[in-house]
Amino acid sequence: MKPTLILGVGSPYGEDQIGMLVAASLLKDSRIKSFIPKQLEIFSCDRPGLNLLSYLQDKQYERLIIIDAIQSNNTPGTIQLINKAELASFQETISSHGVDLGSAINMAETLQLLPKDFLLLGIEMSPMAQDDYFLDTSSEKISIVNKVVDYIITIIKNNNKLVEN
Amino acid sequence: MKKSIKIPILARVEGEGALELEIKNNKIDKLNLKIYEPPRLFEKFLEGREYNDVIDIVARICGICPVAYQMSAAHAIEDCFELKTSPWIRAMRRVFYCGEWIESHCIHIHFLAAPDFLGFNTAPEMAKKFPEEVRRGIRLQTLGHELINLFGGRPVHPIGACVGGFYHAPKPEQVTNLINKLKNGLEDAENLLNWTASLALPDSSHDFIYVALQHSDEYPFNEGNITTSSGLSITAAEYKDHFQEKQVAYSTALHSSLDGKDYLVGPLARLNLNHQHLPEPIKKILAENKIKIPSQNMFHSIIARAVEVYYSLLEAISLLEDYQYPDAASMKVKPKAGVGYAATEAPRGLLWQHYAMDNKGLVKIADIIPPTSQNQFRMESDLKIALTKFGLDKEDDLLRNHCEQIIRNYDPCISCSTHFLDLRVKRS
Repeated sequence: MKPTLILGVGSPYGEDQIGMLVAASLLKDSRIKSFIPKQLEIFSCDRPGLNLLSYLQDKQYERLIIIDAIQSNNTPGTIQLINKAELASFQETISSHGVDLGSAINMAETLQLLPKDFLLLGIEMSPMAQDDYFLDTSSEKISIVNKVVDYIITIIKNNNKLVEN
Repeated sequence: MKKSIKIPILARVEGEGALELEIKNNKIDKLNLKIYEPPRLFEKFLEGREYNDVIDIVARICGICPVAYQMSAAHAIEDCFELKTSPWIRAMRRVFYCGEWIESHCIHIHFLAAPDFLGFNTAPEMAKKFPEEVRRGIRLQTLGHELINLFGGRPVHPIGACVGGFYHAPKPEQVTNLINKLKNGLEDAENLLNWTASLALPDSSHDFIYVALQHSDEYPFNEGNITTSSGLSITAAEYKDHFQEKQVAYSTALHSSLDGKDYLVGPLARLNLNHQHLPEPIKKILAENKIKIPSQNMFHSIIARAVEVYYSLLEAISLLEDYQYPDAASMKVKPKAGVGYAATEAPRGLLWQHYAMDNKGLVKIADIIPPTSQNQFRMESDLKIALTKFGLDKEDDLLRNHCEQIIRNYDPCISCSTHFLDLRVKRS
């Protein structure tokens, strides 16, 4: 079994990019490069819906970390650990055209595909401005990405599951 | 006695719609499928846009069947430009479409339709009792997703298709890798078809006309004549000579009819008109399960979807096994003023498009008729027959559930038809 799977979830637009930007930045980070891919796998997931489960179906990970943008009236860049109970309270939307992240994670748990060690990091982002719609790398966004990357690296390094080569 | 049942929002369908039912002296007095999703005006957005913009814009009409919108648009514009594509492009467009059928059908079977037939209110409830079946659905759906990604460049609103072909051809090693995954999915597809064929499905058999593309020697995706069970066989250019659209006061989607009659498009219509082209393993499973095709039982749609999942896997494997990296992934395009027409088979049925272009390759007129608006009239007729058979004296909640089950069976995409159920029943 591989120790950790990290999924940066979002879309290529505006503030919703944050999960994917964090995944891209982690992939390039020299502090964890030697662990990839044998002990650590990292993917950017563009609006995955139920395809999120495709990463889990072989049950090969001990830990799953998901990063996604949230809006909860906190300061932009605030990192919130969302637990399964909180996630279950989210309204589920399942239609032929879209399955929200909460529903996909709940389905993964129902199907016993969700690793026991599971972290969902909600990254507070400000409401999307119209001129911010396309790919942008504002200094504020870069500093949020760096903060989240440091946070995740601290978690996975303190976890003792990664062994230095 | 007059009774009125209203379903204010339809569940487990895409988009926003409602059903209003009035029962008078135990007979249906009024039945309106109300689509109140605002018009989306895509045809007007397209006017003045360059031909390849069309392919990217129409992909945005629908989150689950962007390939269908891209394929109908590409073929219609190529028809206008009198552009012939290469055998490689023709084959790879079929593979691209296979991915969309697999993904769309697997979502509908496992998350929308199957809970109805197994007595669950939601897919997560069903997943607790049928985890392996749902896991199987996810494995298959992932294969569809990967096929779309292979040619589309990304799985959501793919961007790989263009007028004349594709922007890029996949590398042979990517194809080989995917063929192995597709082959590993064959047992799942076979089990899925056996499972759907063994479900205790209601019998709602009744007479109706069905319409799909029909091709002389293959199960249709992009080519073939528009064919009806009533004996009509026409080209896409002749569509409007026989099919009409009209506005009804209670719906923002236009109602389509065939010479004034309702008709079905979708997987069951396709299967009924093209089952002769199915590979032997699929025919054998249908025969073993005593499923007779053509079928007039709308509830056999779930079986038709499973047939098409299995077929798409076999077809994609067969076409990709002959894969050779092409000299060019697209044809050279020379715009030409004129008109073009095309119909292709979206997961939900026939998707017809017509464009008038100028000599610079800019759109003058765009006309798009999606499957759900074509099925709207059929859904109303089916509801009238099925509800009467079910028993109009049943409790409102039972009627409401039955209505939703019938409508979901069509896998309507109300967003595409413009969205869906809010049932309102009025009895007197």
